[in-house]
Amino acid sequence: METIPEALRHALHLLWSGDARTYTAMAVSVRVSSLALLLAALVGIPLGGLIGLVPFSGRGILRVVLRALMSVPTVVIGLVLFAVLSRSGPLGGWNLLYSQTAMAVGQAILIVPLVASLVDAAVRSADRRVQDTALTLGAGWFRSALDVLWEVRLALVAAVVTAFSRAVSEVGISMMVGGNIRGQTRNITTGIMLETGKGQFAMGIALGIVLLLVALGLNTVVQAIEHSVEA
Amino acid sequence: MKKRGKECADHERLLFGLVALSVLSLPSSGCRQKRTPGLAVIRMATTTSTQNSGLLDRLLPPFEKRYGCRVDVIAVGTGKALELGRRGDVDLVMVHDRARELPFVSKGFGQCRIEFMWNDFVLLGPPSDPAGAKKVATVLDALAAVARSKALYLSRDDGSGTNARATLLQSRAGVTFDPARHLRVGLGMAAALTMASEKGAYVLSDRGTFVAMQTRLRLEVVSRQDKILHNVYSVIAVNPVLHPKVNHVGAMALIGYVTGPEGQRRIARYRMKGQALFHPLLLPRPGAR
Amino acid sequence: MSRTSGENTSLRARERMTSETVTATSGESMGQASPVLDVSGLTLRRRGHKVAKRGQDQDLVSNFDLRMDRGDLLVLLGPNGAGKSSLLACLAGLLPPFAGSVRLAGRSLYHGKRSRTAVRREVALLHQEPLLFDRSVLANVAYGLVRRRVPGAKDLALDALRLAGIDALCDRPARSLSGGETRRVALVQALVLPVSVLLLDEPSPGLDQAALEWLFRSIEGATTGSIEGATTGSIEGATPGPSEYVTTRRAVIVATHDESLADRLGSDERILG
Repeated sequence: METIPEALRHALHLLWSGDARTYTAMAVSVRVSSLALLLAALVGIPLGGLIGLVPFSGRGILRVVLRALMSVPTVVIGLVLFAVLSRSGPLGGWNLLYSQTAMAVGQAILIVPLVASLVDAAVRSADRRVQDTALTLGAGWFRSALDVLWEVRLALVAAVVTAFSRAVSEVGISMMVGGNIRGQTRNITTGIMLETGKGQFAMGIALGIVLLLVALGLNTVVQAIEHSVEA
Repeated sequence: MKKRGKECADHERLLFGLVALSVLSLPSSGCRQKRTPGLAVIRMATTTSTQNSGLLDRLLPPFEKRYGCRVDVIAVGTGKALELGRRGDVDLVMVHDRARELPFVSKGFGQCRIEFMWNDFVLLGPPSDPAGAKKVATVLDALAAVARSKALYLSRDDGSGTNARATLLQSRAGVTFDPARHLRVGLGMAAALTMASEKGAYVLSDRGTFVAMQTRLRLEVVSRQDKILHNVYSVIAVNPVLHPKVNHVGAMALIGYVTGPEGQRRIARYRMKGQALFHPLLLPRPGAR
Repeated sequence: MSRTSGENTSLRARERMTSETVTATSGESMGQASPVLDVSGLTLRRRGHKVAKRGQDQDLVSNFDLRMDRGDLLVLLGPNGAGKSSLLACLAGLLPPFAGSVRLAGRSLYHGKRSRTAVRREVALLHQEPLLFDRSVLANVAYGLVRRRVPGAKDLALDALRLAGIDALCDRPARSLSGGETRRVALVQALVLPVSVLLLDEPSPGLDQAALEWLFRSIEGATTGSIEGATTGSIEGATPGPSEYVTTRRAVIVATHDESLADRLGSDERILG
């Protein structure tokens, strides 16, 4: 089986030669998943914070639902979003189907439950006294919640990294609502699907290696950020 | 045409195998041989178009029943099907891209390639036909009209047989599409048709997939029947010398069945939504090409 | 000051608190129109016991009254589990009471129309196991001032640390401090705030002799309006606002189980109990 060494050679060659399609797919992956992460963080962090910090009835049910939502297959999210964005769907007029925006929204839907659950867990693991202390020192509730989030910032970074990894590695949503259009909505994972379909297995693995390298690069940056916030 | 000689040799060998097989197992009424050893499971890689059209669901069960075997169908693109064959992960392939089949055989990955049926491709476009593709005579003119217009053109870009044909047609027509209006989508046929429908784009499709999805698409056939749109399917057995573990006997039996009278008749009789999709090549009948 | 025998300890402690209350009220609020801290009919229950299952046995604090004015000092003496911390948490706005009301500087903490945050800014609480934010010591001390938009918060915080003799710690990450250091920083954090009522929950454990002396001076300063180290020229020279705040006399409540601490504080004539 010569596939693996061939794949490694391919991957290095793609990166070294500055292969335009590979770099475009890489850019699409990073851009779409970053946008998805931004959207998911805007919704998921406040949501997780609320669930973790505000005792309201139905909180337990919400937690269960959020965790269950993490198991929804990406293709199903893609299908539902497709039905909504399709020309015959309710938001067909927005003309979002087969766009990077649609992919980002889909991925955001995918990772919101993940972000919210991880933030909820992080906030619950924080010392209760953090919020109490903030409140008795004159902070409003919102400010005290921010202090708790700051207190668990390393867990938040971990949540964000996990969510990004989930988004950048999914393929079902990107395929369904992105459509794998070369140069526009083809990211690394749908590119892998395509190469596999073509029988270019080594190329598929090569793109997988490329994605891994992207992840390595991003996590190195995150590590540096972690060190700076820890200090 | 250089390949012809080799093909014929394969053909002869195939016939030889068929004779052997028929001696072994065809007299099903007499010998009552329920299960042929070595026939148990046959793995066939084929294209999504044959699978999605429903043809295999009509064609294969009688064969399975007669030989007491099971045919596992792996429906992928032509490129992947041939790759699976090259690796010996399947016993035979059923594909439709002559330009890649011939090297596959000549390099020794496959044997006994037989062209056994054809269907045709259709150029589809939005009902409004903004490019005026319906008004011109041939499909090549239609493609040129699409390229000249401001309409979107969609190609699958996935190395499938359909994609290969689209590329061939483009070069024959001598047209290049504006990259901004040429969507290269790495999708299967059904998903590509959905996208073309959503975007109002022109696209080349096999007739089977289009007929199956017709009611859900805002697409119409804009091309006329043309020999250049004919799509010939072949079966190829994976080389048992390279891959001793393949079920060669089973592969040969299946090839014998689909190229034989019964298989050919079943192909000819198959209808989807009242339309004949596939045409046998090996029945002595007028109009079969 | 009657102790009922035969009851459980927690109840006894509450009775003692109540009797202290009476003394506080009679001793200090004479001639004042509105007490700075006015607690009436306060009943606290354990979390999850909002519906009483066995009557008053669920009450941590029952029907508690207290009136204090600026300058008053009250020692809440009682054993562990007597409800001291819960009572202080309630007075600090952290624990809504089962019944009764708390008024701070004339405004209701739990039932008022104004935001609870605004009323809560009249009170500061030193937790019995203080927790500092995961930031620098200086940022911790300045925190409450920043929240109140006090101008020059950092300078004020630095001065407060200097006068407490722990300004060397100011750039240290707060989580790297020892237990005693943490308690001293937390005390400065509370003392520096321009509040009317200062609540200290078990302030003495972990403090060495010098720190203990400083604690006593600080408590006295809080009641007299000359907070130890917080009324010097450096602060008065800064902006008039803050110095006005920090020289405000406060009502101080110290909760402790430690009789010797109570006695020590009790040597001051303001001490009740």
